[in-house]
Amino acid sequence: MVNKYILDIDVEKCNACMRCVFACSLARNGVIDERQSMIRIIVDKGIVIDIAVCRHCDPAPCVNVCEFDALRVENGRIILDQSKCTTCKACIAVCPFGAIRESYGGELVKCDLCDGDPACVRVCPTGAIKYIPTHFVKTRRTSSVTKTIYEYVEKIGMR
Amino acid sequence: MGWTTFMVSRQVSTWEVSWVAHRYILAVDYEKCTGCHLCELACSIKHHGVVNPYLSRITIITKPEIQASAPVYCLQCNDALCARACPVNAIYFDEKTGAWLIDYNKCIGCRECVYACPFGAISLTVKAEPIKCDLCGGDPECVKVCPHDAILYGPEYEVVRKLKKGKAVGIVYEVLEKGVEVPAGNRVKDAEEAVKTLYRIWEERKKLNI
Repeated sequence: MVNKYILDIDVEKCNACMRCVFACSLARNGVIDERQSMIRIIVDKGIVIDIAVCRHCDPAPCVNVCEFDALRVENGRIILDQSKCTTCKACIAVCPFGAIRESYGGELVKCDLCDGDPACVRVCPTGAIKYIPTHFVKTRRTSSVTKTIYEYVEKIGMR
Repeated sequence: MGWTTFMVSRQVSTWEVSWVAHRYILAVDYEKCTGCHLCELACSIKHHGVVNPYLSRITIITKPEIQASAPVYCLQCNDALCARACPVNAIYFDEKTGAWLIDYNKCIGCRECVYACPFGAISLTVKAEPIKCDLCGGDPECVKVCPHDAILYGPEYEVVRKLKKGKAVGIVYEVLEKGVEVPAGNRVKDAEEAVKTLYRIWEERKKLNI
């Protein structure tokens, strides 16, 4: 079985430099434009709250709701077919993350993971976005908890 | 706030406190833990039928340089952040066992619970499904397999008392600088007994034909 690769997001590391936002629109559309980017950094009062990007859910609500089969699953990625899309915006309403958005031309845009080499991951200077297999997610999260226990054991010298 | 409202809220709160005190919890005494990873194997056999530490709900991260091991497991929080973060309300509280469970019919695999958990207790399978401790329906296998009785399971007041007691005994031995005897309650099981438990889970799993 091949591991599913995901965009792993660490909000605490993000410093909102907006490189991923500009790289995304540059790789896809050839222009540097925040509106045409498929990734968004949501900042409130100087604090990064969330990085809104498609999670490639399985089973995805957007795929279920689409009546025209414009959204399809391909190798664990959810891809939007522009030729079938009628811009009815049902997927925008159903997505919990606001990952699908409308560009200037009225057509909908969505992350397609750049065919396995995401541009946002390449430009991120702090490592807030990583493109890794699923089971590495656990290792990253647990590191912060174990640190305090190690400090305690080193100090007390138990066992 | 009127007197009646106050009394009602007070009654509700006392009921909640008494209920919380009597629920069953799982706890790991990391000073007793030797980092043998048997609980991980038992967990993955119980839930998936394979021996794979990546598929276990409990994780022990060891650091051999200082002989420390840090257990990472679901603490079954009263106000669970994973349930709050879930956009489709797939994580619900099971009042029978006192565990937060994932409803896989509702789950969309968005990994929001994994990022929300402050302890890293929720992990992902290779299919990107979230997995978390369900207390084995009220009968955890990791408790039975642990050779040093480092994993405790029981009513909350009892487990907390045991943890405190174990710590106090350890400190007394440290003060005396003797450490001749093993602290009370630190029963050491045979390795055979642990292996037998693993085999038993394996065979029970076979009978189910999953």
